[in-house]
Amino acid sequence: MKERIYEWYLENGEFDLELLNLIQRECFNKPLTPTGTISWQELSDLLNRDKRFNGRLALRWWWIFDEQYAVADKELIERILNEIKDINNVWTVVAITQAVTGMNCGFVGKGRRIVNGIITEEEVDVYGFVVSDNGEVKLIVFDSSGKEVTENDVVIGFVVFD
Amino acid sequence: MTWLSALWSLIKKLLELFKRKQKEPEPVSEQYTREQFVEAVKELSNDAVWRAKILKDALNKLREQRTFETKWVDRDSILTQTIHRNFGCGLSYVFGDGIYAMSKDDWQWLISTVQQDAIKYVSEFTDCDNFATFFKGFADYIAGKPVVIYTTGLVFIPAEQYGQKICLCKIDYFVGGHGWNRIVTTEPIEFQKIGSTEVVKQDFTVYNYEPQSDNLGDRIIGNWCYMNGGYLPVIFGKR
Repeated sequence: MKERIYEWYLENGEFDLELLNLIQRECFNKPLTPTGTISWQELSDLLNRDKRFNGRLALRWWWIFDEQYAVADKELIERILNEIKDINNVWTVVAITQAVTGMNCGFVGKGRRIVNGIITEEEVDVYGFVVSDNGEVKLIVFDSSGKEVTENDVVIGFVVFD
Repeated sequence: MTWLSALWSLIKKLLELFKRKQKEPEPVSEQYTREQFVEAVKELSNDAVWRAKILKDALNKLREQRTFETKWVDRDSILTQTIHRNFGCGLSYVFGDGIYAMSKDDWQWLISTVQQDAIKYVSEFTDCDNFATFFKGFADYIAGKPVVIYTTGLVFIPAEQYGQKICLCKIDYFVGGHGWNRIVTTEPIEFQKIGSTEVVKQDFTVYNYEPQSDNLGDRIIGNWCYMNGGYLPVIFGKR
């Protein structure tokens, strides 16, 4: 019933700033407990081992980084991404996902498209998350259209871990 | 005769049905109140996946509330201003060739609509860099184009603000690494180039924006001085 009321009002109801502010506030500040945490050093090692990241330690570029990052449940992240799949702004996808989970498990980045094994000049905006997949900590990466990035698609030159 | 009476009887029944149908009241259309909607949001937002949907829907509704007039400003022009106004020579903004500027009114509206102060600060896990990402992610989406610069650098407390009691030798007090935002307005500005008498006029103004407190400012917000890239001015005390 709540779902029906929500969908009906979304379609037919009046929205002013007061209501939109209230909705945002209901969605923020309900943090979940992460599956685990990963230190900056462990995350750096993970990035360095990952062929998609071209062996670069992109984190050191930034003057600011966290000592600890959250590891999220892969299925939960995938369900959230499915719900917001029509958003093609990588920053917005990461911002929404982190705001509704309270986990700093996401990142945005820049990559270059690989075509027939050759790295092209085409730049690709990417985003991703540190997730636990059956107990194994992994990085899942997507391009701005939501397609999962593999080492044969894109080589990632730069990431900003949040 | 039999088939005629059967036909007549059928016509009568159909007419009766038609009349009855006409007399029946229209089914009441589904209608819900704002209060019922708020209750539904409160309940549904207990689930993280629903929260993502609800937040996305709210951002889409916010997009419909205002039309922004924007103006493209290229990266090199922004850098010219940030270097000579001592904001630092790095933007830490590697995602594009520039950014869109908007009027200060539009900015004040946008800042007031994003309710990220409701997000609880948790050291390391939801701290400065996360708030900078939230603001860029939400504001860019509401504006419909990239308007926010995500930046990282150093913050320090200028010696004269920190006080001679603690701040020995008039050296600025270094606070630490920090993540915040920069925005660009369509206000014109004039500034003098460092090491030169040349005055530069530009038709946009760069501001620092602290997403943790919603404060918009110049180089100093509160008692923090924000700077990224090129830290020589900090070392040599030029601010």
